[in-house]
This record gives sequence, structure tokens and C-alpha cells, in this order.
Amino acid sequence: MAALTDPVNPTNIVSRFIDYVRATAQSGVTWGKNDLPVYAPGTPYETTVIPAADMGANNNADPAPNIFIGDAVPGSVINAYNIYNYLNFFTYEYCYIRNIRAILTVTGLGGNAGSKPTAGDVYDVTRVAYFSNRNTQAAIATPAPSTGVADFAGPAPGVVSANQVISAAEMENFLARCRTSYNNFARNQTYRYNASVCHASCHTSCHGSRGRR
Amino acid sequence: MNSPNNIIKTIAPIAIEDLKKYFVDKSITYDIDYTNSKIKGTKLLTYISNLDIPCDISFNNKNEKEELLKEYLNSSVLCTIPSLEIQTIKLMLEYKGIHTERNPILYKNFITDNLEIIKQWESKLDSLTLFNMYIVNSPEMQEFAKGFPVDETEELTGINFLSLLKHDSFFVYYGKIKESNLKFYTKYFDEYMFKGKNLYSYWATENNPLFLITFGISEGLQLIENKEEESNVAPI
Repeated sequence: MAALTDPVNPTNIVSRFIDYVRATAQSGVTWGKNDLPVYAPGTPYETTVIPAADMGANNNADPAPNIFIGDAVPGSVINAYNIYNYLNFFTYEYCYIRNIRAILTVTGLGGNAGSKPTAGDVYDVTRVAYFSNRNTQAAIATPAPSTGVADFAGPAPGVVSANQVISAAEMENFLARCRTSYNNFARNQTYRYNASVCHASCHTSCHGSRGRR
Repeated sequence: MNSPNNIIKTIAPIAIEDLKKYFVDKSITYDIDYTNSKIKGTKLLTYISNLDIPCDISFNNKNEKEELLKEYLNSSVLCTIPSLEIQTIKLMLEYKGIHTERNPILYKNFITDNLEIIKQWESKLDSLTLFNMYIVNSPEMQEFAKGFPVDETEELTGINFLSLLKHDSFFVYYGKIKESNLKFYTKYFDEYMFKGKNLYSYWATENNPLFLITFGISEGLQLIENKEEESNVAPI
């Protein structure tokens, strides 16, 4: 766990951002290219609900391995612009890791011997996944164009005014807001991925192979 | 998504009989065959902007595509043409050195030949990060944004930078900003000069993750209730 110095410096901020946002994003990730949601594994009806192509990377991968703040290097002067915009951007990068609800729906009549007897959702599981997009849509209601964004209570003016010193407390507040934003976009909203098959005993090549019989 | 039945393949200008169909059925879109169109280049962009109907353009070869892309970059009329928007996103990402599997190097020569206008686009697009600070309702943030070099231009050449902002896939661009490019565009940031709308109307959309995260950060530490996005149906 990094501690912020007062005044803070670029390396310090990045380290603390990692504590706040990266640590939150990378906790509890189950699905990825290396671990896919699978219905009835090991049976003839095995079906991958979300294919690897729709996952972004392995479940232990890092969407932003090289976090930086603008052109800043240790010891150089940083400003509100590069803190604000780069931490905003990297918070967005972590939205690849998000809550996904994987549903496999049998759309036909069901009733195939040895398979689920009825049509409907045969798999419905929600987990955190390293997904293929960072879709942040619908996370919040977009404010009306005639108004500005709500008051930006943190970081306090010290961060955003030229030639002022950034305090550790203000920076902690800002990083906590980044983490909350990540949680609101990627964890507290669930992206529903709905795959469907014609009947439960189908697997992906069902109709193709039937045609060849 | 439009079914093939809702897409009318046509040339420009579009026949009146075909145009009338849109006014009866708003799900209609037009796919304009560039090669066989009677109006091309700037005139075609103006024509599409004036018509203000949903359409896209199909090309038969790379030369035609790049010919119109050049006109699009230099155009001062705002138009919605998805294929050109996607091309321009790929172009700007390539220019910024953001290469991915989905964005291979395709425009090296085009960038060399059109560097001046591409740099103008870069300055405007990069400066939107200043605008993103400027819209926060905080006098300190606004003063900070105004502290960057001021550009009072009203010139609309390259106005279609606005059209990229509706694509979520564009925003990876903002990982490669040059602070030396940043300008406080007074007219762009404050006036209703884009088809009667202000810049905020194009920036503050649910497709813009930087705006949404800015909004989230400015809202503070309030967690939203768990909610579910619309279903993504993926037939197997």
C-alpha cells in the first residue's frame, strides 16, 4: 500500500491510483479468455456461453499495465491537467473488467433425451470478467446539455489551480472518486450477455452437422 | 439494426421516389454508391448534410475512399456518414501511434500527404480534454482550462471532428494526448455554432466514457444501485 506524501509527486500518485482503482478492478475476476462460462461441461451438451472472442484477455491480465500521468516523470512538475485527464482515462481503461451476466437460452421446445427437458434459460450466472469492451453506456443518466456537470468537489482548488501545491488529502479524495466511478460503471451495473441455442441438446455445430447427415 | 429491406441502395442525388420512402418510413436508410454517383467530393458532403437523412457511402476502391476522406477532413459542413467516421477514427489512431489488431497501419501515405489538416484535427480533438475540465461546474477548473493558449477561431474546417464523438471506439485516442497541442478554443467551447448546438451537446453523451467518468468523479462517492444494461443477444 503506497502512502501519499504531502506534496505528492507523479510516482506517488500512480502508486496510489494502483491501490485504489487497479486493486479494486482486479479483485474477484473469474472469467477471461482462459476461463470461459461453460454450460454442462464434460457432457455432450457442453456449450461455451461467452466465446473467447468476446473476452478481452485472461482473467488475471491488466488492462493498463503502464499507468502514467501525461509526460510527467519522477521529479518533474505535474499539473491539474495531466492528473485529471490521465487518471480519468486509466479509470476508463479498467472498465474492461466488469460484471457480466451470462445467460444461455434454449429457444426451441426442449425435451431432447438426456438434455434439459424444457426450453428457457439453462444457464444464468453472473461473474466479473475481463470483457472485450468497456461499454459505459447507461451507467448514469446523461445530464441535460444546458447545464454543466455537477460541482466538482474534489480535488479541491489546490489541485486545479496553477502554481498551487496538491495536498495528499485532496488527492486521496480524488482517487476515491475514481474508484467509485469504476465501481459504478463496471461493477454496479451488469452487462447481460445472452446466448441462445435452438434446443438444449444442441451444441454449436448442431445444424451444420445435421445437414451433413 | 436495419434489415436489408430497410436499406435503399442508390446513387447521389437520390431519386425523389426513393427519398419519399424515408418520410413514410423512418427506419429507411440509404447506401450511396460513390463510384456511380453524379455528385462527388465536397458537393456530395454538402448534399448529405443538407438532406440530413440516415445514409452511408460505399466505395469500390481505395482511391475513391481516400479521395472522399480528404474532402471530409477538410469539410466545413457537419454530416453523419458512418463509414467515413470509422475510417477517420482509424486514421487518427494510426496517426497517434495507437495500433491494435483491429487498427493495423493503413494510412501511412495518406497521413504524409494530408499532415496539415490532420494536425488541425489533432489540436481540436486533444483540446477536448480541456473542454472536459471546462464543463465542470467549478470556477477553479474553468480558470485552469482558460490558462492554456487561447484560440478564437470561428473557422469550421474540420468540423466533423464532432462526428467521432458518438463512437465509443474512438476514445482510446485519449491515451496519447500532447499537452503542447492544447488550446482553449473560446468560440468552440462557448458558442452554439454547430448546427445550432454547442459543443457540450456533442461531448456530453452516453457514448463518451471520458465524459461519463468525469461526471461520475464530479458526483463524488455516491455508489449507484446495481442495474443491468440491455441484453446483448448472441445466437450460437
